[in-house]
Amino acid sequence: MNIKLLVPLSILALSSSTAVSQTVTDTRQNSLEFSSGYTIGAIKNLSFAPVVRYDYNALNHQFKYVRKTKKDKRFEVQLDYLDTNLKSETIPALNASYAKVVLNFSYLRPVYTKSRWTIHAGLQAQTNVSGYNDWQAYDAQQKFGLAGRFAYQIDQRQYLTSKLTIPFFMLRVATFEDSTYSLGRYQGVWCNTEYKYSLSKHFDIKAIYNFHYDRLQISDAYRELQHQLNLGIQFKF
Amino acid sequence: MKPSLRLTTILSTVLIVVLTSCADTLIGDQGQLDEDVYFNYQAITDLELPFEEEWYLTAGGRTHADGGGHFFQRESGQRYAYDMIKIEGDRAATGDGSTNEDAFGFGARINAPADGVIISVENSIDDNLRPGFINPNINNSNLGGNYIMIDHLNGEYSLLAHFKKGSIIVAVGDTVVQGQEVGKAGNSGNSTGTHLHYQLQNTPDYLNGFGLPAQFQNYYEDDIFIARGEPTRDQKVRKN
Repeated sequence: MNIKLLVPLSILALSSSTAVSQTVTDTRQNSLEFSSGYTIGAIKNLSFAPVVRYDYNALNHQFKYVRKTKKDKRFEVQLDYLDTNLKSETIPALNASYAKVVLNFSYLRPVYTKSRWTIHAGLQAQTNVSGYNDWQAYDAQQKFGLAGRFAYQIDQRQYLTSKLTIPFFMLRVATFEDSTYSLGRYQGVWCNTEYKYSLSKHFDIKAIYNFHYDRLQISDAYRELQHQLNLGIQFKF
Repeated sequence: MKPSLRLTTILSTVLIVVLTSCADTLIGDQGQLDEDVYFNYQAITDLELPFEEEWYLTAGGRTHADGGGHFFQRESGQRYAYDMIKIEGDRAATGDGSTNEDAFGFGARINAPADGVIISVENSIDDNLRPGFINPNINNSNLGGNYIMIDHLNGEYSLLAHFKKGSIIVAVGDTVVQGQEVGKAGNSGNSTGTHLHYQLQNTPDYLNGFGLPAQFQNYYEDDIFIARGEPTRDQKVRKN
């Protein structure tokens, strides 16, 4: 039901980029951004519980700081937070509260610029701490990945960007285990797609879709999938 | 709409549709065995409580609340493990309980819960200096302290742990029968006070297996007779 709702909303957000208006040029170097939205997630953590799959829905909040150099190198810091409950219809007795804080650092350099297209490439580090708060269990993960950012300027007011990150390393310190994983046992995809509309020299509004997927191919299987649809405002300075 | 923008929009839309429609595949069905065991597993072995007199469960059951830290320990077979302390009335120790010897359970007789063959024994680890203190030599390799593993010869194995140093009176290869004394309760290994740790698992490996729910037979649970059941945290249990 929720996923069915997400799809048309996402399409609508992306399709709305056909609207055209041209008066503002984006020359600001740095920005602060706040967005809020809805997360649909699913998680499997066999260490935590003998449950094939938990589902969760949550409001999520994101803060983002972007610093751009004159050569268009980008340094991004993003903090995400959500607080919800894990639900399993199979074993409701094992439902549990769940909170997650995610901190992303990205450093991206421009590798291709032509006409309205800009492509950046670089590295992304992600630290996330999940808490199963009722039971004093935690799962802290430090991950590193290769990132690419594709930006298309529709006109002077509108932009479409998509950032794709392929993580290749995870350090996991949890109630359940302390281990490191590389690509053989750890795979993931993080994708961020944004539509931005400039309101003025200092303010933009955004529609954002985030896809986040991580999996550990180990006996105590761990997998997490998130879809996020957010609306945000950006202050440029 | 310009062709390049149209292409971008179409590709983004396709990507989102694909990603949102394959959630089941991405999460996968690993864990079906865990769910099946949770709902349906009945121990093959006829188990009885491995002690005399009345004991109290500080951990045991099928939830995070009842199982405590055990419930997270899937890989070591502890998910359905029991921690039990010997009590007299409502007390577990005499005096201020500051020494191992204060605990009523310290040195109490521990029995084999069912027939089987002893396949591993550790009997030389010092008991922790006092309740609430874990000796510095305790690490991931000796968390169970002094222990025995019984092979029930049917694919099920019993691990009994935290025995008093030197108290185990069976050896590897010995055949044991249900109710036979195997050692004395103690406070060795990863233990903050005298107790017995009991778990049923599907492998002969020490702290490496799949934990199984263990049903005991013919015992009293808070003074109510149970023909076959799984006691849970905060219950008092005894055989007679």
